[in-house]
Amino acid sequence: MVTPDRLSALFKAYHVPLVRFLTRRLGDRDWAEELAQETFVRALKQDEIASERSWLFAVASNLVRDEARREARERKRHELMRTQAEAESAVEPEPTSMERAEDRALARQAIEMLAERDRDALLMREEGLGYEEIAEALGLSVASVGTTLSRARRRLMEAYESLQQERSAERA
Amino acid sequence: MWDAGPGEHPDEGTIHAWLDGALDAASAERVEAHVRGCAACSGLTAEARGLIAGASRVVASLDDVPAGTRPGWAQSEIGGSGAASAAATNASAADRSLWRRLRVTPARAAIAATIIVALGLTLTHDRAAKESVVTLPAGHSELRVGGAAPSVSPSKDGALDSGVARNLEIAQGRPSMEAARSQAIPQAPPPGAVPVETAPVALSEERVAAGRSAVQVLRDTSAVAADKLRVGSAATGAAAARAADEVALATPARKAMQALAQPSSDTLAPVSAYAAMSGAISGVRSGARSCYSLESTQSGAVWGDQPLPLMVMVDSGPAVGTRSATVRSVAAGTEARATWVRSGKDSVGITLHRVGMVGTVALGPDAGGRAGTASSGQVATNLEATVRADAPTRARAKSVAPSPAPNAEPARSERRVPNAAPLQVTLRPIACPPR
Repeated sequence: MVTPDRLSALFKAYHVPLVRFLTRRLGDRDWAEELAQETFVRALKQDEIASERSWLFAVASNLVRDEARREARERKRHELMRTQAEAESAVEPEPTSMERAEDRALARQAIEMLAERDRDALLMREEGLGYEEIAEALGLSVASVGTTLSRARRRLMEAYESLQQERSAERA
Repeated sequence: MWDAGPGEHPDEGTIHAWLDGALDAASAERVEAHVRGCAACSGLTAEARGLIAGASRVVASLDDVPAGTRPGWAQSEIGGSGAASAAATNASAADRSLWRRLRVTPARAAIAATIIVALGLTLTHDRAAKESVVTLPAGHSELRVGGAAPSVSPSKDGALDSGVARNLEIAQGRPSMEAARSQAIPQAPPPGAVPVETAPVALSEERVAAGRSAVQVLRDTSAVAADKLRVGSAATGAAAARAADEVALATPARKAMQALAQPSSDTLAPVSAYAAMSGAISGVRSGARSCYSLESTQSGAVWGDQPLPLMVMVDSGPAVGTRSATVRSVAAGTEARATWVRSGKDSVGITLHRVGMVGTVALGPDAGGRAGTASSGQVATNLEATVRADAPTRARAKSVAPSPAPNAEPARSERRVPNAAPLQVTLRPIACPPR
């Protein structure tokens, strides 16, 4: 069993990146924090964790997957689109904040367009996980992580640019 | 690993792996040599750099996320109990509580408390060292451990409106972009930064009890920490007392964890949370039985019906929080019970428990002794009292109570009658008499 002291060390080392990973993944900080806590609770029950960081991110990723199934994700996308539409139609008190909100909404839409594995790999990489850790967390071969990441990055940017062009066209 | 023959080009994944530093040294050298001499692969590499930088910026833009944006479907799904979506969407904050969704059990609550205690104890040990190495650059949201230079947050000054071309420019024109990205990723503390016991430690009842005390302390100091700890969905109004206790036990753990995380705007929150948690945990440490002399320079001073000086004997208990106490008259030898409350700000309050009397003492921080004020008075219970602020009490048994006198306040079942003016008192520690 993971000792409380070890858990404390794990918490200090990985809570911040784990919450950020989950926040980026889910788009909701509260939710991310809750899942992060659940991840650590599960760690405490674990007899032994060989590769801690990849284990934690894998559990967090699985928690997200368990909770957000495909149909629900579609609903979330609609919700985000609705939020974006509301933001665009609202009175603009602070242009800078609004632009940031729109950029964030575009980024959210773009990231949601990725395949789940690509998205997880990219977000884990952005949290500093190495290729071996990503491979372990996602059940991939190490050799395929580069391909997965290159695909994720390319598709993310293509989706993002496409959404930006749509927005620009709407404004024009 | 890339082991290709002459004339064979690395694929895009290999180039990304190379740029990510994921190739072994030999493969990296081969890729680098190939890219240097291959125009097509050089272009592919430049594009990959742009994609890496651009993707990082897009991902980073996700960080500015407010809380409470969870879609309704998620709330209903995580509830997991088949609750109607509409009901979940309209649920109150309490209904959307983590503990409902995560199905908190006493064991989980105890685990959460253990996390707090373990973390707090660790922090207490190495806090001084930690303060010297924790850097929170302005505008940045993560804790950085070690002596690394402050990271630069990815600029969010504009959209990536020119797409890959712009990203290429960024990546190639500013080679530090990648370094900034990797620096922005919080790294684990260096080995040895966190003292870790190797021997297994059981989840003893003592730790759980300490966790419960921590919860109480966190409650007591909530006013101080409220602006530091971002309060999520509070678990209030639990039906069963035991359930409420368990939930309350776990809720501060979540708050503390949340405050430790604070991945966005509040850059000081993690430090504040560490401080709050560390202070709270240190407050859990038990205070031994201690005794004090409550004195006043005013002649004939009494507190309650006890003439000063009084001996205040505080039972063992948490150093910060509530402890029971005994107040003994030095002159008369009579005793009364009291409550000793030390707040997180080091101030102390003493409340007298004596039938027919009310008394409070408010004392400031400890400076070899504590100074403050004491007030007390009689309590007329179950009597109908007719009181004027500037007149002595006239209380009569209810059965014989006449009509209220002119200018009298409405009758009450209990009325506190304070003494004319608070006493200026001091509290100095003394040796405890044997029990």
